[in-house]
Amino acid sequence: MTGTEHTAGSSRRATGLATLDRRWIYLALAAAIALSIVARIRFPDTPSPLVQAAYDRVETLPPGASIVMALDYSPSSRPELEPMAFAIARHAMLRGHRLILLSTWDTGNAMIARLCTEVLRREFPERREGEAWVALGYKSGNEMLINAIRQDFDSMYASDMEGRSCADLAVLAGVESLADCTLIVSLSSGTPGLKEWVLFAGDVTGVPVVGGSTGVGTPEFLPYFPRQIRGLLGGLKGAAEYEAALELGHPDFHQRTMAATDGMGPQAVAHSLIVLFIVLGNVGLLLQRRQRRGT
Amino acid sequence: MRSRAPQLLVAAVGILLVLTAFVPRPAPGAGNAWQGFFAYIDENFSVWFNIMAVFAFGLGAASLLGVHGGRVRRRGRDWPYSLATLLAFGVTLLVGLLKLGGPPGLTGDPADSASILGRIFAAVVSPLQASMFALLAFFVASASYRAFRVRTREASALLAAALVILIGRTPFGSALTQWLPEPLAFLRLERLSLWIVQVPNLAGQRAIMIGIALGVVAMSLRLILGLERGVLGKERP
Repeated sequence: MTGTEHTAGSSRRATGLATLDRRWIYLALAAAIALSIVARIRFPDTPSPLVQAAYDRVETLPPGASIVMALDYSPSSRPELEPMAFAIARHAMLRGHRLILLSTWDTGNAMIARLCTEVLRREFPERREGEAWVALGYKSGNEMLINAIRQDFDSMYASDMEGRSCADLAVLAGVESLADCTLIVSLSSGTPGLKEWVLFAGDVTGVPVVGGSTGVGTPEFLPYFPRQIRGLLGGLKGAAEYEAALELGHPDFHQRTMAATDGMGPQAVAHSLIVLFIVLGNVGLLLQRRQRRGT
Repeated sequence: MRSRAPQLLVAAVGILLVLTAFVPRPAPGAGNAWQGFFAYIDENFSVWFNIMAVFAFGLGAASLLGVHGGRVRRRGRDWPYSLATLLAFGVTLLVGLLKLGGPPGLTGDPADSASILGRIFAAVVSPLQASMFALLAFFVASASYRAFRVRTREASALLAAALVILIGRTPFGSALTQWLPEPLAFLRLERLSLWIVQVPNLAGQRAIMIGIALGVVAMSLRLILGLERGVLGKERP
């Protein structure tokens, strides 16, 4: 091989690394995620201070405390937020709290229905609907809905999702407005969401707010921690950390599903692959630069 | 008068709602008439807004029918997509209003899982939304590969932060740098990742939030003072 051929070969390799066809990236990512799902790769997780604060807030409430949980998300962000909802609902049921489920999103009813079917009715049959928990569902109005129920639940929710009168439900005894609740949990992937629950409910009533958001949305809420948001679950990792905290705190309780912990394996593999591609791209770029300097 | 009356209404409602935030709520059976008045305003304006928000759904539907109906009539660009939108809208609205397959009556949940609307949500909306969001992972991977290059100092800093966050947010991150001794524990990837998010990012977020809040105050003042008229629609000659 002559010097010119060698240089041409190196140049092609450098260009190849720096300008990889995106279809190779897609293929590699799909294969890596599929393999890690099939292989059920799992990593142990430990709760970060943000998640531990949220866990401790639920854990230290006296039994029977009323928690409002707003499921403000849609199927697109369900994989990240639903594991949070499941883990917090389990935790609340284990601790004997009362759970009030509602949503400011029109897709919320379906999300609430899944939580009721998959967790509350199946795993806690002894904690009965109407006594230990209630699904109030979605109402229009966005932040004005929060503003209205801050003063009076009855003004917006005369009945629950099943059509039962709220006045007859034991779970709502003594709970006339958001101000009567002990904790607000907002799991959101947009607007209205966690920010609106802080501004229109938590800050005004003094009821502590704990929240969960998608991975990309979490940085937006960090300025509110720890005064206005008392605990924060960020993305799938936040949910996995909450599952880990629940496992540590209640070792006798078996979590039937741990979707976040299961999902962290494929996510870790995908992140690593992306890092690998970024490194490869930069190696190609540096090689190209060196060759340009050499010629 | 046509524009003056709405302007006065906006100003009056704006001033009242701002004042409600500063007037303390009276205890039940206590407080003076003014406090009671502002508490009444605060409570009921939210409910009135929610009632008006329901009418906004009707406006949204009218707008959708106008835009897509017009495109289908004119056989405009991509009109078959508009037709699909109209059909999907009509069918979904009909099965929801009639509560087909679900619990009947006024209080019956139209989105009950047994209803056709519930099934449309579970079989069409849910997988479509999830698929769209899942595709983002592939675009993010491709975009990261192309964007995160050490071309300039700023780009290099961005690349370093991205790498730390990407690895630090996975269990790999903890495992990779767990060996670092306690005096150097701050260099562990998960702690570095948390530091980036909680210190430089937090500073930027706060700056943006304060800027937006000042903008909102300025815009609200312009609306109340009648300097911003776009919200009232087009000026009539």
